[in-house]
Amino acid sequence: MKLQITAILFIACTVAGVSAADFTSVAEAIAEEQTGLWQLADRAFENPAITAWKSNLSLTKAGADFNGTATDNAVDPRSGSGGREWGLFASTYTKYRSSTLTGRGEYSSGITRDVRWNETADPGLLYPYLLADSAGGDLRTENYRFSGGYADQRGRWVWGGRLGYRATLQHRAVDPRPRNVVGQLDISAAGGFNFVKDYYAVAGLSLMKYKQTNEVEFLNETGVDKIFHLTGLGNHYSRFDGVGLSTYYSGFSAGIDLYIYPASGQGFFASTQFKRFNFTNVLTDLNKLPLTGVNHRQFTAQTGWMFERGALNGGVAGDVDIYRRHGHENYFGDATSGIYPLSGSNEMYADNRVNAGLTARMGLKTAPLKRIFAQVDINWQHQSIVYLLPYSFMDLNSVEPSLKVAGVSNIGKSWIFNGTCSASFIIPYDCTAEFSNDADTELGGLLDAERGTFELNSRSGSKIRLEIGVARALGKYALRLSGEWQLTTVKGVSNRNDYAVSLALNF
Amino acid sequence: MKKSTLKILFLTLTCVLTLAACDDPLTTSDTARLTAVIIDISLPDLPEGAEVADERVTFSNLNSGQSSTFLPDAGISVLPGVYDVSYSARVFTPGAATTNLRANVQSVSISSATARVELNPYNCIDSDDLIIAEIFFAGTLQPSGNSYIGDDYIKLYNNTDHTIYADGLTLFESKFLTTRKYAYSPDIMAEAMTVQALYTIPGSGKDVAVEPGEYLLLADTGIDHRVANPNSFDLSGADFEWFDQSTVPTMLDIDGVPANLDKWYCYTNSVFMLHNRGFRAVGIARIPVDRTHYLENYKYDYEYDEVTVAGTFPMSQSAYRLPNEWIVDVVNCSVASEYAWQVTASSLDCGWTACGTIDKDKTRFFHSVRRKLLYVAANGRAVFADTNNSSADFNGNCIASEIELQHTATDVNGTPATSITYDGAIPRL
Repeated sequence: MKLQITAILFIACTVAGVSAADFTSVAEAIAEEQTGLWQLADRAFENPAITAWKSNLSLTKAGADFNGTATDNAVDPRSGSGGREWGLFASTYTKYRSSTLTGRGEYSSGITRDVRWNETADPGLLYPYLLADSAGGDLRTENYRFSGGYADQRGRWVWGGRLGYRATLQHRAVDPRPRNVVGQLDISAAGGFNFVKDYYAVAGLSLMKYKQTNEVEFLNETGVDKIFHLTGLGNHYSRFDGVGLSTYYSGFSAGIDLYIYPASGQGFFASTQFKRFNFTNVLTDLNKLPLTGVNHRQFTAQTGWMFERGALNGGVAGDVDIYRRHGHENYFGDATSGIYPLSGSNEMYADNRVNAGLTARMGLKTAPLKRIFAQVDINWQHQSIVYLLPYSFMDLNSVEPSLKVAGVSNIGKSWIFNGTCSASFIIPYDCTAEFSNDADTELGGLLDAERGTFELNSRSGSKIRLEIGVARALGKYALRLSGEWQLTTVKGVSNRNDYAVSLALNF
Repeated sequence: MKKSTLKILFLTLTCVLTLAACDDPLTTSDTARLTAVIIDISLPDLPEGAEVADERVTFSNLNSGQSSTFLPDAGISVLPGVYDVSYSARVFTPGAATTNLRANVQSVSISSATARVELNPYNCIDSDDLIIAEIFFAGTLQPSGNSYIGDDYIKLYNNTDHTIYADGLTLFESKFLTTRKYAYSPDIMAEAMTVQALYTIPGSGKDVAVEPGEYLLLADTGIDHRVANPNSFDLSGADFEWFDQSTVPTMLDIDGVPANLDKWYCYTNSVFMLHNRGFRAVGIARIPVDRTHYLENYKYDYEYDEVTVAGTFPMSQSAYRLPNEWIVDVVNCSVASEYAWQVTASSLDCGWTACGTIDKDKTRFFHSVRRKLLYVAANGRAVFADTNNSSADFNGNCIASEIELQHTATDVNGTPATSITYDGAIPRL
């Protein structure tokens, strides 16, 4: 760990040496990051070439952060009952002539309390095929993230590339003792050309390689807890219950994206992204038995229009996010000499979701460091999750309107403040669910978790989020302290508090 | 711009429509996903006038553990997969007792559009001999939490209405594990069982009488185990114990008061104990030949391939074979997580029972497998299930009967047993 922290600090100091600007410029960069109009077209900035138009100002940060979660009713024990995490980070967005350099290094360490029915890291990515047991306990996690990108412009052409790597270690020091190691490599590249006025058409390709290995150990000499291989909505692959304590997930993702974006940040913009992610879950200690797999296809699109007229700025955007996530279970004949012959495969699990949203924003920028905007969003979502046999399903529908107000202001020449306040209301309708695996008494806790998930998503609720930040000039640097707090209330189910604090040197 | 924008919009629309047209949520009414199964039943020769009724075919999916029961002549459709298929029926014969037909095929792969399953039922007829009423193989835990060995036992029971003599009855344990399947060659399972330990009840034929409704207790070590482990119980009153003259000096076998079983053969040169996690079959047999003749003529040499990641290794081993017709009763034991196959012919035992559900299950200690009570006769004699299907005939994970009777510990903390049951489930009044 010391090596990684040293590396992060070294990168931060090196970048500081070459990119130090004056405080005014740093303050403007912070203001742009917090309230910039680019936020309306946020999907476009996932492309490494378009990143160059996010801002004309360089901003480099190095600091530490802390975040935590607490809930009064952990209805889904797979996520735990709360936790905390601290971290060190350094990031840069550096402009030099026509090129833009981005980079981030991060180390974080944390604990999630009382996680049950899940012994797998990244459960959101790998659901429903999780390794699980009823005992569970606190899980300690360490993350290492490094990424770097470069974008440049030559005449009518723009291009960019980004490379990122994440390593996650997760473990528990008491039985059951999972040891999960995640490695994720992300590569993306994009290129485009100016086809009219300042509009660019950009195409991108992104690839991701994912691997997670899991080893569950028991040191209690008198026995072990039963390990399950979950298959979704309270079901499990019962044939291999209690075996397969050594597993891995291997996944690969490929995506293509197309964009139209104005280099000036004003006018029409559009983006479409199509991504396919497949992974298989393999039981290593049964001669690499390929137990299950997922085929996840996702399509996202966003389009809108942005403007700046004097002090006024604003825009509208619409986006859609559709995915189909289908899971299959392989089945095997009788093992001979420990080898299970593959007999076939059934598609047993489907999770299909459509999300569509509209956003309207209006802002005022009376000076580079005096900005305010208000934003109204409305999101509609339909999700249908099905397990074939025993037939179980969860149908969820909701509408979520929200209002956000944010602003930045300087006080004198040495201070800059920013604040954000947002509120949203979750209005579910026509939500139904059925869980049929009631006869399996061993999995009572897991079914409760699934029912809890349904309760969380089928009850009306609200989210209130507050964020405040203050930066103080330290010579040409800015020392910035920021804090966030979000209260998520699901009526009659739970109240959840998320909070985060960050202290960073900006330059 | 206009042309390019139109292209983008067209592409977007195409993607949306492509995704929207993709397969939608799965439903059980989606019959395209199911496979029609044809059942071929070849009934055995039945007495004249016999009538077969109450036929049922059960498909148990090995992936999900879910079972579905059908009438054999009804249209049967199941999800493709690997199934254990069982058949049961009753045979009503005028002027004779009602018997049961049963068939069982394991690990049937159903993957095509239609599948055919062949079933060869056999008629189950009572053996009119002792039965295994209980197997306590898991042992107990010491207060320190460490496991204790030596207090395992087997209880035999006279389930009939007349006296049975146990002299010459041989206790045996299977060589093969129910948790590890190999393609043994030659395959003799249809004719004989492969065994690795044989201990016979001594006597001249009329020495060890077991009255109707009485038990015969065969213990590993017939001593009061409470002296060494306060959480154990007293087995000094056992009827017999299996005794090994160990060649390993450190493996001291204690020869208590109970008479010894005659050791015919055991695979180990130290002391024999039941498989602590219950991965083998245990049975009793009446061997119609003497020990010398048996050991000379019933050796079984077999071969199999050990397939590992490093390669395939041909193996050869030896054990003894026990002809199926000599076997009086046998019980396959396993655990759900490790179970691979039956180590007996289906006609001897077409099921299996367990203590715990996974390997090294910490809940197994203090527990045994006990035969299910059918009814209590007017004279107070308990009558237990005996259909040669250990899955149906036994209660798994029961508090051991000796623990109940002696009110000794039911867990590592020494919590005493308070109730006494017939079969681990039904309390004695």
